[in-house]
Amino acid sequence: MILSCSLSSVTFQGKQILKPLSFEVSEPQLVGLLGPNGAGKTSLLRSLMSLIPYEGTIRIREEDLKTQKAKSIARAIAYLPQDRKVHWAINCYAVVMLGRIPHQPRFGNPSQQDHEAVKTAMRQMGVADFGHRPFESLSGGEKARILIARTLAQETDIIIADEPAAGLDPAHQIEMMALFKDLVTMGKTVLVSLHDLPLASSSCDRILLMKEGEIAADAPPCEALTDQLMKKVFGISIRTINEEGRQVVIPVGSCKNSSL
Amino acid sequence: MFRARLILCFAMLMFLTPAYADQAPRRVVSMNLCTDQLAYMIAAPGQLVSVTYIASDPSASLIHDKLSNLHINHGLAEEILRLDPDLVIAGAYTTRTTVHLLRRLGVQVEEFKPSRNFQDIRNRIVKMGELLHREKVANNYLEAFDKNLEAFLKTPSDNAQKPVLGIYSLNSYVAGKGSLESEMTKAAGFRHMGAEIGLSGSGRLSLESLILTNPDQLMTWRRWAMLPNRSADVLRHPALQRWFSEERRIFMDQRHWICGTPEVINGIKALKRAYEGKKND
Amino acid sequence: MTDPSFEKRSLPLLFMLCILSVLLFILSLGWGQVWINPLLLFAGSEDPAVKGEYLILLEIRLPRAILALIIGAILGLSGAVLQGLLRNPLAEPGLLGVSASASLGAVIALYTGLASFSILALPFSALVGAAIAVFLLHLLAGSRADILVTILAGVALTTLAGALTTLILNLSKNPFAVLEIVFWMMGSFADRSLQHVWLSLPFILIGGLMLAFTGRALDALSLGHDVARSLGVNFRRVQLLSIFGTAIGVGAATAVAGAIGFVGLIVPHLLRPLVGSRPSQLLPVSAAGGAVFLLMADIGVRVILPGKDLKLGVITALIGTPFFLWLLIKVRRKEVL
Repeated sequence: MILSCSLSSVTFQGKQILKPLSFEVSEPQLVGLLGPNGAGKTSLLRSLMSLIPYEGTIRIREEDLKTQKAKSIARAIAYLPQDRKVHWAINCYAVVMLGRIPHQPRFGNPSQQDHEAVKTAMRQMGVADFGHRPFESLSGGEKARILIARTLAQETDIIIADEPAAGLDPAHQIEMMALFKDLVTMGKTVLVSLHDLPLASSSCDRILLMKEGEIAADAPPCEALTDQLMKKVFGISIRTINEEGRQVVIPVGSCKNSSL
Repeated sequence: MFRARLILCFAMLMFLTPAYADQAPRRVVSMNLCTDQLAYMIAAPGQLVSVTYIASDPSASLIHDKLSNLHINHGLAEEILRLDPDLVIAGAYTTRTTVHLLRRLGVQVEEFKPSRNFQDIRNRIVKMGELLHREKVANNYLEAFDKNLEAFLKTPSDNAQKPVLGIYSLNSYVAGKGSLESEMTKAAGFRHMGAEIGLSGSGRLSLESLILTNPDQLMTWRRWAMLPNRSADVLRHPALQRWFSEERRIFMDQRHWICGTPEVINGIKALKRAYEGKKND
Repeated sequence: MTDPSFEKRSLPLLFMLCILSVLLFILSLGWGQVWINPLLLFAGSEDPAVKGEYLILLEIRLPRAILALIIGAILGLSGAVLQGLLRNPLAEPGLLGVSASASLGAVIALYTGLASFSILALPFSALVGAAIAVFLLHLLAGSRADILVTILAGVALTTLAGALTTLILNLSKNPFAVLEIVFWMMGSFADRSLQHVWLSLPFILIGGLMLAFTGRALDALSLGHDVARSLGVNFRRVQLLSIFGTAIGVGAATAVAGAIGFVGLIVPHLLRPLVGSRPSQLLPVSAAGGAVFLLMADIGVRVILPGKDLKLGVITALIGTPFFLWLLIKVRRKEVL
């Protein structure tokens, strides 16, 4: 078992954000987390990283996270945030090297192993020769690759991405999902929250559909992204097209007025 | 009561302005530490009604414990007007805005420049006597002052033989030539360090310059050196303490040295005594 | 084997800065009203002909040079740390009101008589003032890292602390207190003694050590608050180390030398590109660079207006203000684009 999550409650400022929910991941997968704004996607992701307090148990490879130090959790889960911002004019190699922090002592230069991990990650993301370039000078898509390489260098089993596709053009969105798929073939589990139904339906192995702090559906895309569920969760009607053997879901209209 | 006085005050401002010269002023207010002390010496009982708050500071004023019957002012026009003065005495360089305001309101304001030598002191004794219509008292002070001064100055000796006295004040301040301090130092039989190094006016002398200048005796102010502040830090500096050993230090009461009044005589006397005491030891 | 693009070596730079600060230290010992051979310090005071010079060297110029060295180092270091923590290139203890609040603390200790109870009351009071300032700043602008809000908060704190300092000096019975405002606002190393060194050195060392421990976490913070935590960084701990390290170090520095601005702004900014902008690499060189900067400035005040006790803060402000404005324009332009 890679990840098992069984939460009884997550509250923020006295308000319950997540109701009891549980799910497990037993093999490397690309898991898409979908749901309307405020459904609790980000809270679930933040709980998984122990960034916010939660009631319940989260285990990674059978280890309870509550008994673990922040540093060892950081060796199990990496985080890719929505914004692609690095605050100082650091070069790309140094950005990727930041992923090695959980593996490094407080002082001292990076070890040989650190350098190897960074180079491997950059190679895998196709940015091997970006090392000397300042991060700021890159395009959005290139930045995304560097930041994914950064999570890769962290050498975790699980990578959590919070709306990573936001702000990217369609080509880069598709490219990013392809990169995530590559990560899965490397043996990683990727949890990604998304708003884009076509993207989710065409790329994810599994969909966690959230509504009002609960998991409304936990299934492969073809079962989770049905007419009925989409109407219930998002209040939209969809059309499904078949593309290379996959069902791609396209939202076509709001049905709030008619259905409610 | 107060209203009546206020009305009277304005009435005076309007009608009585030309009448000053003939009559002795009856309500005199002083707005400067040095005129406070001089006026206190010369004024008739009850003639001086108010002095500044600094005059009540024991570290600056020789009359700090004699002010129980006097009002304390802070140099603000409003409080001075309420005192209903017929003469206000101010320093020439301080509280300028108040002085202008008082004059505009028709109050007679007389200004005293700071004294830079003994002649200045003589002049201001005379002037204070005339303003207060106490010429006789002023004359007595003047005679005594002149006599004492003569005694100090009548023993001329070879200037080069005289010891150099450095007076080191808060914030490393040193007075130069043409200052009252310099004149007093010479009257006490010293050469004055500030004058010797060609300082004019006053300025700051860093501690290392003081050590390199190396006056024979170093004089500091007894009270101010103990103040727990930055300005006095330099007077407690270990380098100063080590370089100027006990027999080269003189501590004086700064109050005799600040103002041009007959009290400077006591300052000069005290300095002579302190130095002669050292020579005899 | 390591990637040369990563290893923009900060070690040679650090080495150079250290050599430079040693040379400036020696120059600072020699330079003054008259030139005194610094080697005299080792010759001792046996020869009566040089007794005065030896005393000046040991008791006046040595403390002055040591203070410039250690205070420059702590100001440079704390500037680098605050910039990393707040992710704000304009952060600096002087600009953020930390120095002003520390001098308020020191003035309170001096003029309430607290300082006469214990010699430690002065630095303690100053560092309490500094701690309050850093804490308030963090409360106002901490996690959001909005550059301009932080700077405005700093302006407000500086003004308030300056006003309260003036108030306390006004209320003081000491007639010379008001003259001291200039000292506390502008800072100086003139005529300090070894006592001041002993009083500040331990605090500066402790503060510096605390700040030095933040390096790796500051690196992580360049990816933002959440990512840093996901990398195992204990954010609370970094906050506490930065706040108290700055407060202790800058507090003690201000207690003996007054508020000296802009060192923590200029030095890290000039050195940042030379170390590849990584906050952890910036810390040691900023400390060394700060020492070099203040030693130079302190020699500068003696060269430009010898014998006039030109305030150190005047020099740093004259250099720092245009620099700050230029930086402000640069930052704004970047945000707009």
